[in-house]
Amino acid sequence: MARVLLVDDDQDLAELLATQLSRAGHDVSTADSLSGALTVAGKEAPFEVLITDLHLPDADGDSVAAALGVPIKLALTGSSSAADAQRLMAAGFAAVLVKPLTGKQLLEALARSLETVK
Amino acid sequence: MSKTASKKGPLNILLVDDDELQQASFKRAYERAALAYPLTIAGDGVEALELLRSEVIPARCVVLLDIHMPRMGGLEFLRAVRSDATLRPVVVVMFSTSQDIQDQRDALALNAAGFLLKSPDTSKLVEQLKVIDQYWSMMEIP
Repeated sequence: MARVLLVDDDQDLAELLATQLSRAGHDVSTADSLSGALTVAGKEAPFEVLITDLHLPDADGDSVAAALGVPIKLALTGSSSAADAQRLMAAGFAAVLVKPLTGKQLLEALARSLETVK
Repeated sequence: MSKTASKKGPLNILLVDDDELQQASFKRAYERAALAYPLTIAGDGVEALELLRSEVIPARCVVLLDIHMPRMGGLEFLRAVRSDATLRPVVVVMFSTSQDIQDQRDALALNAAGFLLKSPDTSKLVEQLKVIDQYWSMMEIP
């Protein structure tokens, strides 16, 4: 089980992903922007995992990751470009999840990233 | 004098997708799109075939079919449907994240009515469902 902060401005998707993560036993908080994420982090930190969309209304995913300093970072993106994925991995994201993703992809990526930091 | 049949009943929608997240996302979009058609969800091709062959879902239906599923994937399901005379009226639209051209060719070769890429957000999925609704409501399916 991990404490997860999920940041996505698509509230439908955030809710569905949070439900999947909670069912798998993770403790999930959500936010829809960088400012929202900072507020949640201020109240509920520390988190072990950040899962963030790359295009938020007030910031990009890199800025969210830098501002929050959560150890494990997973990116949510609509782009399946290999170059984008490489750039994100080089920037410290443990995985890049391309939307629309399946629950299995989400949970497996999270499990793998948790395993690597053990 | 020719007779014209105009006795449209409800067109059933059968989503065949193994992933809970995708199912939940689809259900939400389906509710938002406010379609009048009944929706049934099957977790794979085996379950979908059972629903069709037992006539729980009438053959007058549109199947939205994922490709990659355990037990029986979408293309295998489509082959089974096309080789079963009782299921000939079943309309199948592929509904997948696969951008593999071969998947698309295989599906169309098996008379899939189309290949729809799953949209990453609910509002776009709602639009896709409305298009399906409008298109099939205009079609005469006996």
